[in-house]
Amino acid sequence: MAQFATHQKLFNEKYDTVVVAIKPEPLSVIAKFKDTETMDIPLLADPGSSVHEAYGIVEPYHFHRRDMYLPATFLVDKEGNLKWLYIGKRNSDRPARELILEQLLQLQHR
Amino acid sequence: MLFLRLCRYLLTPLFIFMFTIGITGTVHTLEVGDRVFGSQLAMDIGFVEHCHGKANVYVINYVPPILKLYPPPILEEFKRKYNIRVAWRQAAEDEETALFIIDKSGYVRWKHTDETTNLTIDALTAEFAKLKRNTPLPIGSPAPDFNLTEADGKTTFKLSDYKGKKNVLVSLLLQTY
Repeated sequence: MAQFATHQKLFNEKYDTVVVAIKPEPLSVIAKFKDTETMDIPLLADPGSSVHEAYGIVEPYHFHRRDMYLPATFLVDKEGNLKWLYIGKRNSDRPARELILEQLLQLQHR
Repeated sequence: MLFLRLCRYLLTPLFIFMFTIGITGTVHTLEVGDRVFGSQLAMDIGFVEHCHGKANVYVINYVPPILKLYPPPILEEFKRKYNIRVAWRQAAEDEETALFIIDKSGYVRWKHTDETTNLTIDALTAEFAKLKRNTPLPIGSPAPDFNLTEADGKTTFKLSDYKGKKNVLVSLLLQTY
């Protein structure tokens, strides 16, 4: 996702898409994290990890002596339906940018 | 010259000794809560190649020639349901007979070493049932709404606000470690 974190404007104009990032942690941690990163997309705090529960991404990944949620990316279309969902297999597994752009182009040409 | 001889007769055996220790290493038995990466067990069952991020493993670590601990058999259906691979592994020299459940992330979730009582299938099933599984939302179904606060602490983001206006691409980031 880091590759898209500074292209909010492009996504908004070209693909008609809003990009957001969610971190399942309290606001204090999120605010600190936001300072260290260069991103112009909204970063949302989700302390109760309600999004993970709602989308069924609950499998723990044990990393640095903690159970963590796996990283995931999903796309919701204009009708409010889930279009695409990618769940990482490991802590470092993110979808390739081609995969994301492919999905966005499909929505564009519909 | 004296120094060189000292090197030859004193230091060389020392180096050889250190080298040998380095190769053989010390036998490290895995406990619940350990990560298996780098252990001999992980190498033997091919954890990194075949299981990491793909499947949970049920390891039967046995000491030949007699298997003292009889593990109950697991049904194929059950294996598929919980995404389990079964690996038999001959224990290293100083290791004991043990059963392990290692999850996808390489973390030992459960260990059983009690040789006196036989493990029942129910007890084993209960242990497997503790492994959480993803049940991803089906594609095309209405996306659950969320209303969350942004990092600045003031503005909120509601998914349903964008219905009929924009597509929304959401990235769920990893927690800070």
